Amino acid sequence: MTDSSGAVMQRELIALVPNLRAFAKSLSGNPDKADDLVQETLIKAWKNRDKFAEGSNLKAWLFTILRNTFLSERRKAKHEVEDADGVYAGQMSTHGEQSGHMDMADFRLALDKLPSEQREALILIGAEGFSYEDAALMCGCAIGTMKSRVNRARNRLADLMGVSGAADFGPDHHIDRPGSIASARS
Amino acid sequence: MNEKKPGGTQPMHQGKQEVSDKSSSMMHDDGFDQHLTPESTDMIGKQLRKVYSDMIAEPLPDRFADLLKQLSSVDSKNSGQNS
Repeated sequence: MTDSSGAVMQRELIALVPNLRAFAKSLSGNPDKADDLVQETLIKAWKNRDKFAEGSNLKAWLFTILRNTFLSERRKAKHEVEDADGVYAGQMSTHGEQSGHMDMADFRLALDKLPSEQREALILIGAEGFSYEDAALMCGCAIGTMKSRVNRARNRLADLMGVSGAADFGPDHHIDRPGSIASARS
Repeated sequence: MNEKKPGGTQPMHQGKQEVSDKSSSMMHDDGFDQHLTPESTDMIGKQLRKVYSDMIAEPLPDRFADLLKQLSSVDSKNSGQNS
């Protein structure tokens, strides 16, 4: 009986795997770990698919499962994390940092430097296009908190990229894109 | 996987920003100290979506499709015999 609805679910799940991988990667920072996270998410989602309310937001549901899985694993591994993170941050800063203009590598690097809550908020809202309300529900926080995280993420990114805003444009050498606010300054 | 240390799991705060002095002076706790111009916000949004869509466009390993097939076949063996 559940066969046909199971097949539909299967198709919908596989269609969302690229998004799940991207989100997992942005949470964990590690591609292998991200794929393991996605795998676990799919298994949990499949086992609990009768709990998913049809017609509601499948992507939000999956992202929530993935996020909870990530957080509970991180809690388990907490004592190993401090050191490992230093190693990873060191690796990251070797590529991209030298290029003297605002390119993707710079941006990725800056994104990696954000506090994880801020990065997550920015990705959910700014990249995935979730509403503040949905994102707040997924992260178990208030809508105002979500807005504040997104704001802080944008400000921090701008600082890291040397794009500070109206009063202070930051160092010119960071930005040489024609048409950017820095070139308008002359 | 022989990785002892999954470097990716990041603590809430990474204390390594070189700009921490600058940024802390520019941001308040509520985060609503919006000092960005609309152009900067826009530029950040575009970069973010570009980086993210590049990630989404990465080729998908077969393991996920295989996994789902496996899950549904296990499923139908367990429950579906007498439909």
